[in-house]
Amino acid sequence: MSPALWYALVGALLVAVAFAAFAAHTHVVRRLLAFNVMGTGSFLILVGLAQHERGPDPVPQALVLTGIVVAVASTALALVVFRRWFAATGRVALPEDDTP
Amino acid sequence: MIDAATPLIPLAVVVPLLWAVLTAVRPQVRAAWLVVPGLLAWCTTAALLWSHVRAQGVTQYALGGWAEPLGIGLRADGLAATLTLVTAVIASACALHRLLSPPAEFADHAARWFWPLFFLLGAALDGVWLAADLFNMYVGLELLGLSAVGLVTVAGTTIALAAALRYLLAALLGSLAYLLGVALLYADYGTLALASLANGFTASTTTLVALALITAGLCLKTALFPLHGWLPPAHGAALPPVSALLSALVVKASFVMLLRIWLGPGVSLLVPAVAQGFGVLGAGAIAWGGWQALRHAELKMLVAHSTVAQLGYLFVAVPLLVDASAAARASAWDGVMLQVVAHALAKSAMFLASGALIAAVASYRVDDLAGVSRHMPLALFAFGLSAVSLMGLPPSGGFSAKWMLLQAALASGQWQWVFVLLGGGLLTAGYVFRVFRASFLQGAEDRFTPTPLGWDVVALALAASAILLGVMAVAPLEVLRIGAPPSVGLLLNGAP
Amino acid sequence: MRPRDARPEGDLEGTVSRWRLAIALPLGGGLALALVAAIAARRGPSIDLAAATAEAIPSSGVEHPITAVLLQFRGYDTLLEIAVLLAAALVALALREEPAAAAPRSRAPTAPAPAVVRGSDEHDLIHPGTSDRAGARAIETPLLATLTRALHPALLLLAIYLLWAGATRPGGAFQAGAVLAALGVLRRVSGVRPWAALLDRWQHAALLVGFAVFLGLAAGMLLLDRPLLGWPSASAGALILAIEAALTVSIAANLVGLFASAPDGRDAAAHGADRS
Repeated sequence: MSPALWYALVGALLVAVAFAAFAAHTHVVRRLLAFNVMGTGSFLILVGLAQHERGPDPVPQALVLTGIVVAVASTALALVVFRRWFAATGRVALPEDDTP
Repeated sequence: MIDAATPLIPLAVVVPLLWAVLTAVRPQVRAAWLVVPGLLAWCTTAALLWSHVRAQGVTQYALGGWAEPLGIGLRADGLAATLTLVTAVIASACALHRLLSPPAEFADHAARWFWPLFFLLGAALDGVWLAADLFNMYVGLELLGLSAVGLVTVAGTTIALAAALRYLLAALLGSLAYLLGVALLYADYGTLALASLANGFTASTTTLVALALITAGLCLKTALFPLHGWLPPAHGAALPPVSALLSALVVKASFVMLLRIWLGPGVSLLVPAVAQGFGVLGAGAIAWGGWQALRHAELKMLVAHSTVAQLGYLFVAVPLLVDASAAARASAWDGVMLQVVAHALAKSAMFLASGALIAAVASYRVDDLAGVSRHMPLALFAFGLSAVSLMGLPPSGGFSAKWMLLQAALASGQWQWVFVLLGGGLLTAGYVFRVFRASFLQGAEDRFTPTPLGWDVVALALAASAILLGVMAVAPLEVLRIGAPPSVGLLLNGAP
Repeated sequence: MRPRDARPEGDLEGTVSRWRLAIALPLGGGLALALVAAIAARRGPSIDLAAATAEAIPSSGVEHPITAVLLQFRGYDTLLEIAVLLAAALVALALREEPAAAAPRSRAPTAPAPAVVRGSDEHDLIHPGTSDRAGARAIETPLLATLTRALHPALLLLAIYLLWAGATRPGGAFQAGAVLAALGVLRRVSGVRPWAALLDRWQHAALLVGFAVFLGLAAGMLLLDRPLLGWPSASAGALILAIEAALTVSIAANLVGLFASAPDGRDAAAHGADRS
């Protein structure tokens, strides 16, 4: 088992755990954290799995860089919108999710 | 394939991007002197591209001169060229609605950032239509999602913030599932280009899991029942021109990607059971969306739920695209293509007309429309024309689309879809007549707020083009068949 | 809309209900199984894109393969990715100005005032219309202030090095931009902001310059009868370095802007205007 395959397997685990957290939580920031862990897991799979047999491949590495920037932008945007929402309503969850 | 006209393909993306930068330099609420030339340039590019594809057939473009799979290719087939043109036209109509709005609409500070986000959204749409690379589609989809969410927040209300957040969470989850699928496919095939992926595409476990993830992600983004929960609040809370763009075009982007992936490399794996599954979900969307539209109190939520239902028709077509005879498949392709375009035109018209009606009665509720028929005949007429197309009454684009789907269902003996198509039409009639019933009731005459005449004219023009599409469906259909997937296109492309 | 005070503090933690957990755990478990199965069943790909990339590097104008993929072979992805970043920054700008406008709705929109008191170049925490919140966010400890001041030259140098190194070894606009953004965040957190007046005046330009230069040069190739992003091989290296330099500035400005423009949750509720 090459280290690259380990990356992919750890990535798979991260994605699954984070997905469960994303589904379980209603707190928007917790869901965003889950989303980021999920993203990290996907990037590990993308790089790890592609490099498992043939060694370094610059293409998935570049894709991951692009993916990271996109994820950072999305997270930041979500936080900006969330904080406006929180400032306006004092709520941490979205209205439909808020009923216990 | 290098010829003089090919720069039109990248220009369809570059022109809106350029105007996104120009309008962001000094953001203004209503910079008609800057926006109108941009719209003209965009429409001209799209029209030239459409006529180029019409004359020359499918045209490829290697970005940076690097051939696939090393580089990224763009591919203008009939579907991409037509949707690029439809995008430019609908976006221009929405922009005109925005430019003609009274100053009160621009009171909010956020309004100044409408134009850059609007043009970014347009570029993202064109980027997705023309994309031929899995990862490029991902980036295009993210640009689309983020600019769409941004445009929803421009409405400036708390409800819009919540809707935007919900939309963003759904969009992020959807694109991440898609990205995971792309990662697995890259590991399995070593390429991201759709064309080279098609060679040697087999049903390995990796591929199946990847396709499942991609499908789940894209269905979430297309708001396919039962993953549609985010759509009505977002489309209902946005400004009218934004709702129009979102409902008419943005949800179609992920559907077109699904179509390109499943009917491209994935066609051998689109076994009848999977295709019928898509159909069942589509039928669920038609029923649920129609039912919700029947009982929702607010006009824009009614129209938004109608989008959920109308998207269902696209998925009902999937079993007819694969699990049927060649003639039925060809008819289903024509039907689904026309449904995409006709719904885009009709739904954008309906949202713009609804915006005018809502502004006139200063209420979101359907019941408050009483008396509006005498005060706003033009806007109500536009609403009615677009409803004709959504219901599938002749002569309209919606009628031709549903007629072709019906023919495909009859020809392939799949009676269940016949009932779904007919029942969906009845539900649609039910909820649009709710609006008419309310509008034709007697109401107090003096409580109407005057709205710009231009709003009605823009909505009417879009609705009329949805009707016109039914009368003159031949020329657009000929273009929409160019470069159709071989599984459905053999008969189409062989025909003169 | 409920004011924040109406809710107990405990709710801010967010609760996980049993039924949500009952749905989430099987979903996560199923996804784990599916992914592990997919990873285990993976076959050797038939197309070797890594080899194709390595072959094309000499004609790309840059030596480092990742930079070559990012700005040559898949430059279009990067162009759209910068557009994504720009979209996020634009939304942040749109929402940042809201509190000032939202409280008194009738007030005519005003252009953002010049950001800071001219001439003072340290400890000026003032931000247009948000001075109280920016001030509330700064953590004023002597250690952080000294550290931030000391890190200025080091981080600037590191960013420039990373940018320059991108052509031949790991590095490039993204890493350099992230380092600069870290500096920007430190400046905000510590309240130590040398040249704040100058930087704030150019903030908007900095947000746009990366995308504008990238798009301009990419589209400029069309005028030279070359494909979009088709850098002439002789000047590819120089063009890519110019783009990366502009991108560094914009990536940093975007990230700092996104950090700075989230409204602080601590300021009062009741800013929002519900539509109904």
